[in-house]
Amino acid sequence: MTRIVFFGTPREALPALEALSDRVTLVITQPDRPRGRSGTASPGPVKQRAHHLGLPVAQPESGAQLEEVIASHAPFDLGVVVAYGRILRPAVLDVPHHGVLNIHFSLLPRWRGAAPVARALMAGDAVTGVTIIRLDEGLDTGPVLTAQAVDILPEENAGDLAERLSRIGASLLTRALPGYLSGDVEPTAQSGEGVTVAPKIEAPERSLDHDHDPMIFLGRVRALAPTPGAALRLDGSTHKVLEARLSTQSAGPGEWRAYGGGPVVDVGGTGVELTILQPPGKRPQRGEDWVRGRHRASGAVR
Amino acid sequence: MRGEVKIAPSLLAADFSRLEEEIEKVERHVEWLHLDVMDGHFVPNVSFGLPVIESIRKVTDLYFDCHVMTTNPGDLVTELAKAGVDLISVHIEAVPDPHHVKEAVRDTGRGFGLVINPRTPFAAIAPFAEDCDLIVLMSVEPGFGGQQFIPEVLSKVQEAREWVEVRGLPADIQVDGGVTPDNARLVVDAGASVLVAGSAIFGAEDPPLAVAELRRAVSSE
Repeated sequence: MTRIVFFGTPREALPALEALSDRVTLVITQPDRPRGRSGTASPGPVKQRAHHLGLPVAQPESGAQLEEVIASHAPFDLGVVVAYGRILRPAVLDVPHHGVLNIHFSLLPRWRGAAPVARALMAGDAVTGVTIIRLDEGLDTGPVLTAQAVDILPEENAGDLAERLSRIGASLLTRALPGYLSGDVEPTAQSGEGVTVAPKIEAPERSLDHDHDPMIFLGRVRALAPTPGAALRLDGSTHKVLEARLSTQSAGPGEWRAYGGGPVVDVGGTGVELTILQPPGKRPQRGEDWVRGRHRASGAVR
Repeated sequence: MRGEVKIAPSLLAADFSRLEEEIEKVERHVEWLHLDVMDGHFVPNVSFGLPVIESIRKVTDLYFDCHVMTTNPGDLVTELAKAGVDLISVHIEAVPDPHHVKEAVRDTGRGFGLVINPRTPFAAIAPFAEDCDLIVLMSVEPGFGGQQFIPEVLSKVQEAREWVEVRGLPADIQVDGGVTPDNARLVVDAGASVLVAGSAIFGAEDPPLAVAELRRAVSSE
C-alpha cells in the first residue's frame, strides 16, 4: 500500500486530497490563521477536510519543524503538494522514495511561482492548464509527469478557474500515478522556452486607478476575484471591484455614472460597468444596489 | 434501496442487417438501448454513426444511451442530440477537462455521463461526477463486443456507489462489458443500477428470454 504525505492549505487542494485520501497517511497544512471578519484563528479548508476524512494533520510553524515532522513520519512513498504555501527543501524532498509531486495550476514553464492563476488572467491568456511535476530545488522547475491544457472561460474569475483546475488536476494525478509509481512513466524535463514567472500579487498591483486599457482593467478584476479583490477609489473611499464588464454607456474621466445598472466608469475612453462592488467594511453587493445606496446617478472616481 | 435495475442491450452485438427487427425483439423488455459510437482512433474499431442512429430513432421510443468512444467527443454532441439520443457519455481518457463537452450536452437538454476504462481509478472522474446523470465503469477494454468481464472492476463499482450515496446524488451507475446472468448479481450488489449487455442479449438465440434471465439473476429473490 502506497503511503502518501499530502501538503496543501486552501480550497484548491481539496479535490486532490479527496482523490488520494485512502492512501494519505499524514496531511501537512499551514498553521491556523485569522480568517473572516471575526479575526480569530480558524482551521483552513484542508485541515477541516482532513479531520472529516479522519486523517492525521500536522501544522509545522517553520521549515525546521516541517523537516522534523517529515523525518519522524518516514518511511513513506510519496509526497503530493497542492498550494501548500511554503517552499520544500531537499531535506523534505529527498525523504519519500518516489519524491514529491506537485499539481501546478498553469502549463509550465509558463507562470512558475505562487500565483499562476491570477497571473494568467491578468495577462489575458486564453489558455492555461495544469501541470504535474516532480519537485526539485528550483521554483516549479521540476520535470513534468503530465500536463493538460485548459481553456479559460470568458466570464471566469480566479476563484472559478482555480476551482476548475483543481478538479482537473486531481483527476490527472490519479490517472498518472499508477504509471509513475510503477516506474513505467518517467517525468521529462520542462521546455526551456516560454518561461515566465508568477510572483504573488503585491498590494500596488491590486489598484485599478491607473488602468487605461479596458482589457487590462477587466483582467485585473477577474484575476483578483473573489480575493483579495481589485481596488478602485469611488467617492473618496477604496472599494473592491469583484466583477465588471464592458458597457455601451460611458462616463467622463474621473467620474462614475449610473444608467440603471452598476456604476459606469471611464477606462481609457471606454465605459466599464462595475457589476459587483464591496465598499470598505461592508459585504459585496451588486453594482445597482450600490448606486441605489448613493441616492444619485453620478459621483467621483478618486 | 434503489429503483429497478435498468437493462441496456448494446446495439453493437445486434445483427446490423436487420436492426429494426433486432430492436423490436427487445423493445418491450428493456429500459434503455446502449449505442456505442466509435471512431477507429480512440478505440481500434469503427461501429456506426449518425445515419444509423437517426434511422433507428424512427422505429423505437426506447431511451438511447450513447457511449461515445471518439477522440473528440465534443464535436459530435449537437449532431448526436439531433439524431435523437437521450444521453451522451464520454471518456475521461478522451476529455481530461470535461467542462466544454458537459456544457454542450447540457445545452442540448440531454443527459450527461462520464466513462472510465477498467484501469482508470474512480477518483479520476469523482471531481466531475457531481454533475453527471450517469457514471459508467467499463468492465472490458472499450472497442469490441464479446469480451470477458474484468472482476476487479467490482470494487470500483462499490466505490462509486458509496460516493454517490454519501452525497445523496441521483446519478445512475452503469457497468458496461461482459455482463451475463452469471455475474449480473454481483454487479448489481456492488451498486450498479444500469447493466449494459451486448452479446448476452443480442447474441442469444432468444433475446427476450436472455433479458428475462438477466432480470431474474438480479431480482432480489
